[in-house]
Amino acid sequence: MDLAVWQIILLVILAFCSILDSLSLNIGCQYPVIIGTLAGLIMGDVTLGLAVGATLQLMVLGVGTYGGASIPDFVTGAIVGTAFAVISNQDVEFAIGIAVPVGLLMVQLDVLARFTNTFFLHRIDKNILENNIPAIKRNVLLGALPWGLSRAIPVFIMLVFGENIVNLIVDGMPDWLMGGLKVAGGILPVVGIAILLRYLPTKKFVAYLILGFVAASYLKVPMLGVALIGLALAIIFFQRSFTKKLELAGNSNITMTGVENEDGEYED
Amino acid sequence: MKMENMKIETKNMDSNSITKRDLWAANVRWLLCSQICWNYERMMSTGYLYSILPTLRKLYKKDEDLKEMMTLHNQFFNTNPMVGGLILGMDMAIEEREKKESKEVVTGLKTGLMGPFAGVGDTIFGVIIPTIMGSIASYMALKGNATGVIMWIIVNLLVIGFRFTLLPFGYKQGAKLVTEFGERLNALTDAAILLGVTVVGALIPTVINAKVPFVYKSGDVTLKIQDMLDQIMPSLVPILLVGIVYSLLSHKKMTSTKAILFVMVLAIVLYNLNVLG
Amino acid sequence: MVSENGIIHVRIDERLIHGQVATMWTNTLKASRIMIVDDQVVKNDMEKMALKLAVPSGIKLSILTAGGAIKNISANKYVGQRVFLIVKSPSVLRTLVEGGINLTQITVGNMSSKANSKQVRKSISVTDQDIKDFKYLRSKNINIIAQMIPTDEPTNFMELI
Repeated sequence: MDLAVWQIILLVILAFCSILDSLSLNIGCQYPVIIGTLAGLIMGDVTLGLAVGATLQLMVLGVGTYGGASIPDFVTGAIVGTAFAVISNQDVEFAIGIAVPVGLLMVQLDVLARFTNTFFLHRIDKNILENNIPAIKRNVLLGALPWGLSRAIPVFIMLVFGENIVNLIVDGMPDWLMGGLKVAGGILPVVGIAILLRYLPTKKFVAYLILGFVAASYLKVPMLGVALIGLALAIIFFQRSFTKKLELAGNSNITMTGVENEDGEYED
Repeated sequence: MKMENMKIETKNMDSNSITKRDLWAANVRWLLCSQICWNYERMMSTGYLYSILPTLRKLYKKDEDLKEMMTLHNQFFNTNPMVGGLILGMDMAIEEREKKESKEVVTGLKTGLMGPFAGVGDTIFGVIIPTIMGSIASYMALKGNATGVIMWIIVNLLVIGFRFTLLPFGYKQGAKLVTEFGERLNALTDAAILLGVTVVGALIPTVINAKVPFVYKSGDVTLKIQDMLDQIMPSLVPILLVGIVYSLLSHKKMTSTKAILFVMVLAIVLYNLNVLG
Repeated sequence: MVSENGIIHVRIDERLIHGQVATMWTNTLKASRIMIVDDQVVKNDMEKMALKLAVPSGIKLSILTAGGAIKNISANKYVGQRVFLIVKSPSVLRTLVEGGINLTQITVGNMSSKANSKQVRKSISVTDQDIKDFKYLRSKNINIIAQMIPTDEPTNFMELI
């Protein structure tokens, strides 16, 4: 099976729009599972797209671009992985085998895009001094180009020129690797989960971690059900901690238990 | 610098006051362009400038003043875009009232608040919501069901609606926003984290697929290792795997990329040893 | 890293308790107290209130002038605690060291660009005065590294300037 031109065009547009959406509206186009589904739709195999997107999503659960850090780009990975898996008539693990390296490599382009926008920043500085309002607006909006192209161009290149390479891989893929990748797909969510547990104050809420685990594993409560249980517990917690703070505060606005000295220094 | 309550009592309808249209314009600009020109040097400064630009042009009729305030607003700024609208609204309220005198206050406001707001915003909108919705969506997606994905998109649309309320809210409340709602923010963040942790706990047995195919045969005795493990505790292997990667991440040199590669290699090795399959 | 005066980690970050700093570092370090040392912040009510909001619940907070910090640390006020010290620039750390405070390592996170500053890394820009202060601190045998978030590779900072 080959990639049709209209599919390539749509997938490239998808890549371009996804990064811009993540920077603005945030409808959800920077989340691998959503993009994977859309890519699957374009390629005609939604189930595969769902599965690929889901596996990649679980790997980056909770990982974010906090403060401008760059993270593996599994959105591009999902697009390219799904596309190639469909045309090579392969399954999820093949897609993962492509998606993960692609995603890891794309980090460099993210860094490049962030750097490039500095150019527009300096032009805006000049525009301010010249009081050139239209130019300011123009340069701010032009910043979208480095962002979008940093995703669109690689996807385009990979889709157009990658087919031959992918075919070679398909023919030469040994079972030990394929099987290994299949297992990898199943256990890669461990990474996303472990990262989350590391950076949330898990120890403080470990009881709830256990609760969630027991609910799902012994009681077989589905995910949405566990989320609702968690929501109920969170509301109880919030109400309790809020009334506790009000008691401590009494009438004052400041409820912090610290002390401020005459120099303005504060400590609790 | 002491802050007094900055309630905007009466709106005089001269051309210098901020109208609903101005709030709307700033809101839309912020929603769409807060990060469009993001760069390492000053991060979201351009987005902030672009959003507040119409207001600046309205408030500062003298060229010199306009230039000064534009420069101020192209200074370093980085916060969570979802809640940044609050700061923008508060800023607009203060500048409308004090004009150029508010320069230091506004600088203090932006510098002081962008950090903490980033903390709350990143936690709720950057970690908790994607974690929960991502978990639900992925869990369903692995079974071929796109309902979770659709639910996530709906949630995100609701968040957009919520974001729209923040800027006008910040504008109305002014600086007293910080004192009045401050304490609730901590409790709110904690509650959100609680929810996230519960969901993650449920993720472990649900989406990690790790079964041991190894079967021990000796004469008439056939032992399926997976059954034995299940007797001890269901999902024992997933828990072990999470524990391994968790403790790996405590090492200084370990990054998330290395963790991903480690797990992939581990998977290939264990598959070929028939430990996982 | 356990040290006698209670300070377990020193960070230069203009955003002070920024999103990343608040959760990631505090958790990784298992800090019990965040100490902000900045003469300007002490005078700014808005910033102080914002910091009180930002500190993760359960973690204690100190907002001190450089002089106040020297006094408290020298008086062994934080012995046995796990203090995460955050400042906006190396000049504050220089003042502390000159005042007799013992620091073993400094992590540089965020220093935004200003007039006459030179960008040496993604989010770090230094002025000539900064470079002088860093050289002074290094001469006191303090290890200086650049690292944004705990999962980043730490790099030798002095090689960058």
